[in-house]
Amino acid sequence: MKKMTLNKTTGCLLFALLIFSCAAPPKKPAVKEVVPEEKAPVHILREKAQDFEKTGEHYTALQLWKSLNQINPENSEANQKIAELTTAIHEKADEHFKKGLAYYQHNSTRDARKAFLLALYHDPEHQGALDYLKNKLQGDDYTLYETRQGDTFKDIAAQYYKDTGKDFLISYYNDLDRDGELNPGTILKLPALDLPASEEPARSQAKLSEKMPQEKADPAQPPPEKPLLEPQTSPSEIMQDQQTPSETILLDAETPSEEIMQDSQQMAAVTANYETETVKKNLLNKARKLFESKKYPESISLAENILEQDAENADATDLVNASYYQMGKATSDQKDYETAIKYYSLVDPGYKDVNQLKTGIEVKLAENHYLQGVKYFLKEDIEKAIHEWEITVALNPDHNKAKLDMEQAKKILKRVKEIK
Amino acid sequence: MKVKSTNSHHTFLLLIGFILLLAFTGGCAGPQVTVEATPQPTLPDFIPVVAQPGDTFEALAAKYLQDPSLGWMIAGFNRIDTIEAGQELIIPTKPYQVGGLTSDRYQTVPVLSYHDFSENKFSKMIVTSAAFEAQMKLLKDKGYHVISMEKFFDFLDFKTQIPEKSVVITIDDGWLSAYDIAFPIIKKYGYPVTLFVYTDLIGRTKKTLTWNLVKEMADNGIDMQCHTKTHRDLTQLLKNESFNEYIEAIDQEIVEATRVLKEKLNIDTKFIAYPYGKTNHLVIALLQKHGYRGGFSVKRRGNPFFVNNYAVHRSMVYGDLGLEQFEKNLTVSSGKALK
Repeated sequence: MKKMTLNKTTGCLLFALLIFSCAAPPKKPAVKEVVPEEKAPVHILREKAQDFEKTGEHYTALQLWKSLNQINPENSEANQKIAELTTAIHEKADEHFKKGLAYYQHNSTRDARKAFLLALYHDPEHQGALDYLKNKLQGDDYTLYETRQGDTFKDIAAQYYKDTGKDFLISYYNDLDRDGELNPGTILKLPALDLPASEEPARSQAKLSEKMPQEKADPAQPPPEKPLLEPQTSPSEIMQDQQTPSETILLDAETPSEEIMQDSQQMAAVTANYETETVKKNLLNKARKLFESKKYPESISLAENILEQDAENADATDLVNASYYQMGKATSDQKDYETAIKYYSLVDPGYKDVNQLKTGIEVKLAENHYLQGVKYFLKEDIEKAIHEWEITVALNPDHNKAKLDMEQAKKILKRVKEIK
Repeated sequence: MKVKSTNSHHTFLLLIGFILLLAFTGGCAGPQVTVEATPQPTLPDFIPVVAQPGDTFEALAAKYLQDPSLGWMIAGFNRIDTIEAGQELIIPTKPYQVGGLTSDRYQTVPVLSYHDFSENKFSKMIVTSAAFEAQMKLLKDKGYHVISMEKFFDFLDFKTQIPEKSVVITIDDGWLSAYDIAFPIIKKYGYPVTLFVYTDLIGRTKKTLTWNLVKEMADNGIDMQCHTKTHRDLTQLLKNESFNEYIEAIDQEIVEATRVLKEKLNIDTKFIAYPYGKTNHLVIALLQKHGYRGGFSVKRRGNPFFVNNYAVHRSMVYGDLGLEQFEKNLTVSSGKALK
């Protein structure tokens, strides 16, 4: 067999050489092809796929079976495994994704992130999970707005920024003339005016350490709504005494080059100072005092400043956990469960009984979703009912009524679709 | 193809003959015509092989992946450190663990941030030549891979897989010492390094880089990116500055620095290191408007793929940092978000 192959190879090459003798210079092959060794040990793929399957790494196992199938399309075992694993992977990824959506809907960012990560682990091609991890969980840097008849920049600024003076921002960002007319149907981008959400740990999302600079208050405008538990003093004010005079110099107008250079280095050193033990100790003491006075967000801000430079600082971590824990309890006592779950999800899972408290709230929220699902079901809106029950099960995996009802509803939905 | 069957093997050889015939007819027909690419047989994502005497990860990567530097992928997938003849291996021909994500962990990439260097005088912001050399050597000796900014952002975008121990190196500002001291050491180790330039600093004094030196560094592999025009804090209003003036001013910090870097070096900058590491939503929105792909803070921690691309963490390397402390910044894995 091998001999015949060589003869054919030689034949092809001789033929090619003959015709190339009158041809233009040979072209480079477009792609260098690599062909596996003859009698390549295909069984390695099978064994490795089985190994990965055993350790629960189904996606890699699936890819290995696919490679085996590519090399030997007749292999029935590979075909069967591909079908089985594809279904298993999608089911597992969707289960985590739905959990992620439920947590996301209830502001439980940390749990949502974990669920989306697991969805992506099971199925690295899950674009939905990736989108939440990379975009939606980070918060939007701008909002899209479609203009309507009669809209002006000032109207939109009043609506979105509660400040007609921000009309310049909208026109500037969208490269439009501030005094010009807005055509209906124009899509505008409205930049957000707060801090970008941070990522790991998720609790930084609640951090309030920097504020967007604001123009001097316009007496004609109402003050912006004050969020729950907003700090009364900004951390930058609290930390004034930690900063060198150079920071003030920076905020003055044009600075000569030498001063810029010195300033640059001094400012960088300010950040560096967080590392020094004395500064850390002072900050921690202040953070503790704020915690004792129940000024939890302020305490968190200071502790987070330490963690920015020393992520493993146990005292600062403890203060952050304790503060969010207390904020969760306070809001839970007020029966504001949505906010409570948000705060509890920012506490490290092993801290005190936070998991138990969080689970308790999730069970309550799950029941609300279950009842909402029943309402939809009675209104014959079966798809919405299923959606509510999916959230129910995501929040409370032991909710058997929701599971049963969902199963029935899915059967009904299937039958309805078949009839149609 | 060869492993498929004898029949498919013959088909493959006949196909080669046909391709050569097509190439010939194209070559004889006067003006060069582009021959339509014949669909190439697709390689499997995983190729089984038996290691031959003398095989190394690099040699196998060169043979099967057309890039010897990808040997780490073969080692990583097979979870081995050495190859022995006769060993059964699998060659992954595409990333098999994008983002470094497993069931209980994910990869984190440390980004190191340097500013100024000196031969022997050190301070918080000035690293000595000997310390920098020792740090670069440590990265090599301990098997770290210094990766480029582009590759790093492909990792952040969940598009690719990078070596398990990957690190990014950046230098800020544009001090002359980046050329005199850091550049020769960087060249020696062959690391891809990014220099974030604040354009007003260049050519200002005898302690700063000139555009000629910046160009020389850029021509020799240093990636030049934006550190704004004047190094102002992008999150703060200046004294007597209105909010509208602030918007225009911070926009110009980005636009002008981008323009000057394009004019001087003919490059399109896509990444920014925020002065003092500080940013906000508006700055990010402006960066997105101008086509920027990412921005860097100075939060001391590693970066998982799901970090905000516009708030990437960096660890500043101080002049008084011992090697042991330096190494503490090189955490390459975490499981925190999966707990």
